[in-house]
Amino acid sequence: MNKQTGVSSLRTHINEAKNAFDAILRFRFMASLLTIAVIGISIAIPGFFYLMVKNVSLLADNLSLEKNITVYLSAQTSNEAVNIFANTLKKDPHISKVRVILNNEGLAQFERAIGMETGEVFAENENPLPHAIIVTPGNDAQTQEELTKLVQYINSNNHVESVRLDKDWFTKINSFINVLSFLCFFVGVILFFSLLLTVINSISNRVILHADEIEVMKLVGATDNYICRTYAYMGACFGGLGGFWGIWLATLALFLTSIFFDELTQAYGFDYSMQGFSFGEFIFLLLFSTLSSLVVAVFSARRAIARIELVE
Amino acid sequence: MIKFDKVSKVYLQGQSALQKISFHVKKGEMVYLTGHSGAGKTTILRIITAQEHVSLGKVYFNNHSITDITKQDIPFLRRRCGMIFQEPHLMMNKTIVENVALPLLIQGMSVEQIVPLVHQTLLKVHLEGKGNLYPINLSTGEQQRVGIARAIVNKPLVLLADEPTGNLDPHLSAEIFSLFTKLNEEGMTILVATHDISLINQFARRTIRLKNGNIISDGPFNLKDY
Repeated sequence: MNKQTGVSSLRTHINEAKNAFDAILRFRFMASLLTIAVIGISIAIPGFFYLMVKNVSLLADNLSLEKNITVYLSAQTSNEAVNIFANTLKKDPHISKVRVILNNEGLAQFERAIGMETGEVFAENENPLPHAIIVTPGNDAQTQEELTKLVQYINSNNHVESVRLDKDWFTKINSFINVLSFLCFFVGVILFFSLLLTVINSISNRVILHADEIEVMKLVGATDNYICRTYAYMGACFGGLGGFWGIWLATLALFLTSIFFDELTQAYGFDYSMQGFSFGEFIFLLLFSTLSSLVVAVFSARRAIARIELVE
Repeated sequence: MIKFDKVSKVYLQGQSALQKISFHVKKGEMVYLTGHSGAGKTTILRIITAQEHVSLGKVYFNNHSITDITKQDIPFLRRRCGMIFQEPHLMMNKTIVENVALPLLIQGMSVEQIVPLVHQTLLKVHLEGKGNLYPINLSTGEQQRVGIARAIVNKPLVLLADEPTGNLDPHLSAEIFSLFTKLNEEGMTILVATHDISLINQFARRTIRLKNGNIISDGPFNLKDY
């Protein structure tokens, strides 16, 4: 029996895609608009959470520049050995600044702080304080992972007694990011199912509403795949337009949030501007929304079309 | 063109629609299927278009067995059969041209190929100049002619008509049968299920008479038999 050639098949695909877009605009326009709105919200909410995770992570990385590492050396370390070690650290490309506090300087500072004269509390040879080095990490050691590596490197020196990094701050911010990431994933999964169900419902309804037309098409020799195309492209259009709307909504929500976020960062003396979707993320979200809607539209249309047969 | 070989059809409820019937419609023939309601006329047409499967026997279409036709091949079989019903089954939201062009679009033809074929067909059914109207703007007889145009536009091997004049007045019915006769004279094989004896008498052709799923006569029409 006669089957379609590749070129004619491509032509009919293009024609059906146009028809599907027309059908969205012309037939049950309000229903189409509602479907697109629901898909948009399903994309916008996890999209917004994702943007928050992204911005908090970026902010946390930027704030790490403000943090110092305090290195305490063993009591037996001589002043000369402290300076040699400090010079070694200064040469390290991951370190931007090194400040040495010898134990006698530390003691003097401590005595001044409590209002005593030098040598009043402890004699010089009884000084219990260790030598300390304050290390400021460089620009290429901003993330927690890089800072941890730097701490490990410093700790490997024999003179080092202990190293302190403000890990609490990282732990707290990372816990917050983890919660936000989980929330983003969880909400994303739930709303992804809502997107699928919206498309299934929309497409199935349209197939049922066009049952008479589908019967006629089957009567004149249309294959289920041919009939399905219109609905598949309709699903893709819903997904594409909904995805576009969702990205716009998430960006709008981010813009509104950034007004308060800026106030907060300024209050803490940080200079940070929130970032929206990158071009890659934009394309990914649009493709994700379009393709998942296309796949689920094909699935629901095929099921609904298979049930329709011409009955005279 | 169409061959039924000892074909029986029994529905799931146990009702027998056809009982071991055999007949052969040759290429270029015009044949009437006649009989009372429930005699099996529609079942025969539905079997030819694979809307029904036979319970026993063999059915051949254009020398190919369609008894065990696969689901995937059914649309391609239907493209070879033009089908006309009592109701024209038109798409009410599409113009006459779009309705008639449907089988050609499904076959993947380009607009350049479709337009002349559709106009040529509309001319054949005397609907020239009405291509841009919607079915709602046409009379019942004209709608039926659109149905005929859609059935013949892709030059099918056989035209199957199931009570095509059931809703039409005698004048329009005669017009439709006259059109069938003309198409048959052009070489189209036509199988018409009807119980309108006066029309069969007027446009006399080979007539297969059915009763309770059996063929009781097959030959030239003879009014005395009725």
